[in-house]
Amino acid sequence: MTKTDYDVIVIGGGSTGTAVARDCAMRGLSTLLLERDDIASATVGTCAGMISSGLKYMEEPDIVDMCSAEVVHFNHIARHIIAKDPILTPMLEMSDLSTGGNFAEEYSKRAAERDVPPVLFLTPEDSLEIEPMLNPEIIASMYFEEFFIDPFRLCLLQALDAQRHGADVKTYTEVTDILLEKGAVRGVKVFDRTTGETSEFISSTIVNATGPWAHKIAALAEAPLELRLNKGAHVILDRRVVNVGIVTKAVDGRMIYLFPHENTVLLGTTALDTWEDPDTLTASHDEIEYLIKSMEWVVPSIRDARIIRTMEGVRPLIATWKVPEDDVTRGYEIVDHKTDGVAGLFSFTGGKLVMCRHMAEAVTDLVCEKLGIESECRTDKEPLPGNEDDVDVLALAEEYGISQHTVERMRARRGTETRDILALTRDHPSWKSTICTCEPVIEAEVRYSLRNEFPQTINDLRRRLRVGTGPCQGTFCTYKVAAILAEEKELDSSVANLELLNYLAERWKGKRPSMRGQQLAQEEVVQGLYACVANLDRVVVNYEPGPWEEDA
Amino acid sequence: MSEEEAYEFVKGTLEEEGIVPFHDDELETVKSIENCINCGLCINHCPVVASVGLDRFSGPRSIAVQLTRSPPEYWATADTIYLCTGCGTCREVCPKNVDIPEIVNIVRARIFKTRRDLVPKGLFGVHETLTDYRTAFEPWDDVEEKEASRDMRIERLGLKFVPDRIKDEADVLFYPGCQAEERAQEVREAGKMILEHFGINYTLLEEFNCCGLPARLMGDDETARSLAADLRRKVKALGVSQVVTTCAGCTSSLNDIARRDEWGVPVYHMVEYLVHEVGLDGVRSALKARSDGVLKVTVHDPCHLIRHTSRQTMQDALALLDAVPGVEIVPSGVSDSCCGGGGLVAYHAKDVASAVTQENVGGITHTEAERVVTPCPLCTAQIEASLFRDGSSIEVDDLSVFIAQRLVME
Amino acid sequence: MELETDVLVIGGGMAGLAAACSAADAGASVIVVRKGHGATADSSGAIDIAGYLPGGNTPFQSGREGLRAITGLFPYHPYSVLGQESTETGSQFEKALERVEHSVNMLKKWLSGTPAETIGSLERNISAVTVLGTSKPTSLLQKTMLPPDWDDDSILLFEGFAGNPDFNAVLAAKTFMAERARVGEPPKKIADSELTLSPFGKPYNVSPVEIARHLDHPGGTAFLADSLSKDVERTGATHIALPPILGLKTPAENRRILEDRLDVQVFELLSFPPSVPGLRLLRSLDNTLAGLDVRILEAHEAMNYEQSGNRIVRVQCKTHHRSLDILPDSVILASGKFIGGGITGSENGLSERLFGLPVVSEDWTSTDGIRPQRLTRPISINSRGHALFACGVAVDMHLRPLDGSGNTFAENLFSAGSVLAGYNYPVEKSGLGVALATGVFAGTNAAHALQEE
Repeated sequence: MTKTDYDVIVIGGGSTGTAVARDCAMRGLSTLLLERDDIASATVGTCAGMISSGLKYMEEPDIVDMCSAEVVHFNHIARHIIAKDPILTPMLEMSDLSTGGNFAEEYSKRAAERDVPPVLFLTPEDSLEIEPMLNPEIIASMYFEEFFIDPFRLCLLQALDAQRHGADVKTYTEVTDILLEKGAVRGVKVFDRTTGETSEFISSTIVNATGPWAHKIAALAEAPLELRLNKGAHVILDRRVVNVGIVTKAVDGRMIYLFPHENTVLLGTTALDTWEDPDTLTASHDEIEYLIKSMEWVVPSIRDARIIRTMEGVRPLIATWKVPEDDVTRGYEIVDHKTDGVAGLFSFTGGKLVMCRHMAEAVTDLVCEKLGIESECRTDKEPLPGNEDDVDVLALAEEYGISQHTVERMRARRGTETRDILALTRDHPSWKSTICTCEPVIEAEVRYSLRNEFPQTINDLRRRLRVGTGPCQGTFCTYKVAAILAEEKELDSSVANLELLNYLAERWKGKRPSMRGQQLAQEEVVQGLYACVANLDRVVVNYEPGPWEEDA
Repeated sequence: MSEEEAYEFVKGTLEEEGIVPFHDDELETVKSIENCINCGLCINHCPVVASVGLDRFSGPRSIAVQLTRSPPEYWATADTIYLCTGCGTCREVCPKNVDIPEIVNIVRARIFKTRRDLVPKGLFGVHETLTDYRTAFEPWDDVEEKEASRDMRIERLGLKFVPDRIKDEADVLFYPGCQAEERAQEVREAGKMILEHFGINYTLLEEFNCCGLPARLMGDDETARSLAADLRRKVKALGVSQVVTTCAGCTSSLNDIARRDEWGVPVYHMVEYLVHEVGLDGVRSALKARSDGVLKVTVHDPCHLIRHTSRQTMQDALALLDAVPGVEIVPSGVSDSCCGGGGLVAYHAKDVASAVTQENVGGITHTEAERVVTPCPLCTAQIEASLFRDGSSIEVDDLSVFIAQRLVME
Repeated sequence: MELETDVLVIGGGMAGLAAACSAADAGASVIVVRKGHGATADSSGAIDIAGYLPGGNTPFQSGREGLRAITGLFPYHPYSVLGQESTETGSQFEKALERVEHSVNMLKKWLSGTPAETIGSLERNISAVTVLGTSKPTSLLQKTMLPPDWDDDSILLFEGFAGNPDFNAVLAAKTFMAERARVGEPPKKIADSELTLSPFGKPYNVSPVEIARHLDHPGGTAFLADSLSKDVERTGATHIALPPILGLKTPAENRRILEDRLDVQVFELLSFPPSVPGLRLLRSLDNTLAGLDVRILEAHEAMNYEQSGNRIVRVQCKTHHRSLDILPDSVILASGKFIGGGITGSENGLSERLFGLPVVSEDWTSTDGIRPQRLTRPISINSRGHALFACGVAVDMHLRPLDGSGNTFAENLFSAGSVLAGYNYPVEKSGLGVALATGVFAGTNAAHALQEE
């Protein structure tokens, strides 16, 4: 029989929700995590993955302290999905130097605990040696280091670890109502988007970690909640065109960046207040040009780089009005709706990726207090799955006869799980075949993910494996993945072909706003394969456009 | 921390992360690989894929879309990146002309610098010879033995000895290349004979050094650049207005560095020089048949000429052969397929190199040709060895030797 | 260096090669410069003439029907341009049909006896089957790819190869079966299986071209027949669908060996890149050109040109370390679209790369300054297609590109293939057909222009 009663229900499968579910489960609470889409499918899925030491909030020393400490925790629990980026801030004018000075001081105070150097200053010549793409006109540059995490894997690992500690995780399960009884929450009503069925789950405690939808979820309990929604766009380049991250001032004086991430580079980000449905948002031409124009001053050739796609996400800022977005605190708040007459409902506003574990600890403390449970938080001590041990890539490549680079990429996603995945090829040698040629991903990992990580769609597999995130943006792996998905999940061919088109549509959402250069040729190949040859433009008749696809 | 200390610290961090910043002169190549659309046409044409399969060598497209996207991971490509023979077929068929052969060298240079332990052991011999002697082959211990070997070759091939010319105020620098300097000396002698015959005011280098190609191919960028700089200094000091070489590898490599380092002096292969500078009519009247009857000849196109210099060079080679009396050219259908000798693959993965050469051997032995002629001493040696292994009695001649043998002697 | 020629063809895909063949057939000396292979080499093995109207969901029964509809509805379509000289000799449709028919006949002749030998006609579209198990209407197919006749008793087996993820027999079979059931046509029994054929001893990362080369080796196909026999026995298959791997040199012979040994009918599915049929097609056309003494200059890219009066008199080409000037009497621009690189685009709009010709949309309206996104629809794969892929150069009735004022750009410059505006090949299913027909017409026009001098 399906379990319906829980100590706590966490709504939202982003970085915060999964962290909360993990913390609750690790403290022995019976926990249910509900996500209306997939893990990491919204805000966190469109971020740069920086677990920031707090460089943007130097005005808020407490938050900087917290961020810095959290970086240390992440490096302890998730080092297998973390990489360090050296970063340069090139200065073109003397005024850049003075603003840099304040930052340098604050940053350097906490550098030692993160095992990074204090801010360093480099001559223009040395800066150009390190990064030949820089504008030769620079007068100096500032150097510092930040850590970056795979945000998809982080969320998934938190969810899987929650499961491992007894939590139930349900994706594609949308909360349609919050059940109330005598001024307190009693549970939730949900709609299962896969089966189309509705059901109820009971709990006296609900954590609302739904980011930009938090006010809507709160409204289901008639609890007021205000957010300042703020959207940000990223432009993604096909490879690491720079050796180091670059931070610089944008056209309007905000700070923007160019960060190597996995084997791409992210150019971001914009900050615009928004009232749109987050599901319909795509990057606008203005945002793309704002980013390119701003970065061009310090990296003149950036306009010629290959843009493979864009992404747009929404920040759920704490509602502070009549100040620029930059001046809104990057801290977080936990709203206990008891004061609104809804006991047992806690909502998050604000927050950053780097704080997600901290936020979870704080809310779980409140939940435990409410439930009268005494239990210590261990989320900063116990490693996330895959981080238990070092992985010898060369030895595994040799043992399984798989290319070193393939194993290294798998290691960067999987850590010690790499061994379990490769072991599958003992019984199924053909699963050593490369499915996504860009990242790359072999068939064994696709099968492993389908069997162990509850993906429903190719897009879910993309979050778990990075299939389709390379230069060709799924041109050559989508149909291969669709076939594996169909086999593992025993899908009808019509469903499988729809799923194929859904993923092409999802990729197109990000590619379309920035179409130029060789991406036009890449798109001609996509059309050549799926329309011209496979005739899917005619064969698939029941395609439902996504919210962003409404033809004007 | 002072700015100097800061720079040293940052360099150290980058090195730990496996990042070796690109040189300015590498950025164009790095840029070109962005153009890959992953269509995989190159896989259908790559001779290494054809010979050992896609699993052993994941092919040019994987180099563009997978292996070269993230410098910190270049070390992990070591099991693949050294298997490329650098033939350039992929770049030629690619709709976007993605510069795979060059990016391969750039990646190898990074591995050489940061993870020398992953460079195939077989390449260190070349590395030592180059750093010790500034040539790709160890020089002879005994100069007299070297001369004896030369004389034996001259005599066997029916060439004439011409004393070395090393002089000031020459118009042309004749650059035979390492293979002809130290091994295939007959090619060097043939080159001299030809230039002498047509009254060219040429000189050899007083002190020969390698153009740096082998160093570049193994990733020893520092040695490659230092050799190129030496050569530039020597060429500038001589004040010649043209450089002529008999080696295909040297032709493309010298053109590469002359362009990069702004020599301001054109570099030609001997076949180009004969056709365009001496003139085909002049060449034709200087040649005679070597014996009665017709010699059936098939050609091999060196990759370094057709794909790294210009396809036109083999038109010139064919025009020259056509000008030789008593020669009939028999097409093999495989003349432009890689001989397997490139990219230093044969130094560490002999099985791959000899698998690549099979298509060539098969094509050649299926013709009625009695002789293979190719304008490159390296290809000559590689194909000779492959044919011998295959039990074929077809002989292989370097084109310069073939021409020199047929010069009308006064 | 300089080379003189009657006709210079820029581009070595279907359009350029067809132009070169027809110009050479007409007696002209021809040089083709090719900077690389392109969309033709990536093509599936089908040569589409006309499959659908953009947005329409009913396939044309024949190329002829498609030509009639297209020439009737779209005056700026290259097929309509082919029919423009219609005043004396009948309707625009008839003239276009005559020209397309002629080009199809020429192509069949050129490919006759080659590994890419092609069958089909303008009289009946074929329902070709793809590696995804879907079907699409096409007019011409490589001979080994023609689906055989089947009836209610037929059992069709989709056979895959272990470790070759380019083709998944299970899903292809399911998709094909669902489609057959929907239209109520045979075959009614469909099976799938996978066999192991590892040319290099490992049953993973096997590329289609490896299998194709293996089948060309002596004994290769016989071995495949042995491996297949178990599956044929088990499933009772009467027909076998294979991914397109039946050999680069002797696909027809290899198919015959399989059919004889297994007593079944065998055919290949339409390919995705990297494409064995695309390679067969390009190689076969290259060989045909060699037979016509046409020189293809590989890896040569046309970089610049000189004009004298109203004529192109010089085209400067570069290759790796050398350059070459070609002095042509006529020039044919067949440089392709985005894959071939004939048309490029930035955030500031589209442009034709070599001559800087204005790029127009499907109805020949200017695209000047329009960024590419605006030429696309929100839905990626849709039956109306994206205007972006119908953009190209506008031409006069002789296929000579027009300048910004609508005048002929140069009297000796012709164009063909996907550099032309006015057709949306991914959704029309008309790509190689337009390339072929405009190629032949441009080649003929270029050769004809010489005789007029």
